Amino acid sequence: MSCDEHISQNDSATVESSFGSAINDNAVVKGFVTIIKNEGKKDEQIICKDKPNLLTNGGRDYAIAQFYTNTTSGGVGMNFIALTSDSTGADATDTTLPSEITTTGLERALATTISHSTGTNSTTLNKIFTASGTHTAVQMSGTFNQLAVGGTLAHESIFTPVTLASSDTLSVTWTLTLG
Amino acid sequence: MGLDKTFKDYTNDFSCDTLDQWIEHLGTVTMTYTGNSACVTCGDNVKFNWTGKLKNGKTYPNVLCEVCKAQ
Repeated sequence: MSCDEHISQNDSATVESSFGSAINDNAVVKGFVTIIKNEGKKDEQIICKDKPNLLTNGGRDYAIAQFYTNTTSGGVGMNFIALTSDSTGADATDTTLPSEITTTGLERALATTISHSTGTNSTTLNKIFTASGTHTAVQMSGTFNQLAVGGTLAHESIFTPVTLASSDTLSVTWTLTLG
Repeated sequence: MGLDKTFKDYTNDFSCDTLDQWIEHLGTVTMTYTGNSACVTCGDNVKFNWTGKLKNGKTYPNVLCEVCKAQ
């Protein structure tokens, strides 16, 4: 799946796909992922730009709990970013990021940048990972509500596989819209 | 007619479907951004509440911590 594929959506929660994919997005919460290797360096490489991601079923349920059904204090935001080299693709039924990377610089981390502009529906999460070892064919990212492995997987997106050597950086930006 | 596209600016009655258009819009209107980010100089985490037109091609401002700002 390349970064050029585009999923058009509308606010009535109907998902249309220009390439006939069976991706089951949960449309009111939408998002775009941008992945850049070695951003700002001489060998900068844009791996993926503004690629639509999907909201998992679990992520949708979590959002609904935060909005409507929780009767006690709410949970943590979906602002922890994780990566994997798994090639099975993103699926709305996923509850974990398969074979999530847990070592050498690419382990799950709280987004360094968490930003929202008042009066808009847009939020940005960004984390720049620095590899401390070799990672081959990193190709999927997800957002969670906790730092430790586990928790609820909210968003998932695949991107063009990228291999990182030690000290390479990978900037992962999620631009999310709600409503 | 309401705002019917993906990215919505309710304050300025604007919406668009692509991130590029959204970033262009953020460069033309004054908005307030809240959150946290790494200081662009030292990397320390900074809480920010920044108002202005965003001209950096991103959807959030570049921020400096108080120590770096004072230098």
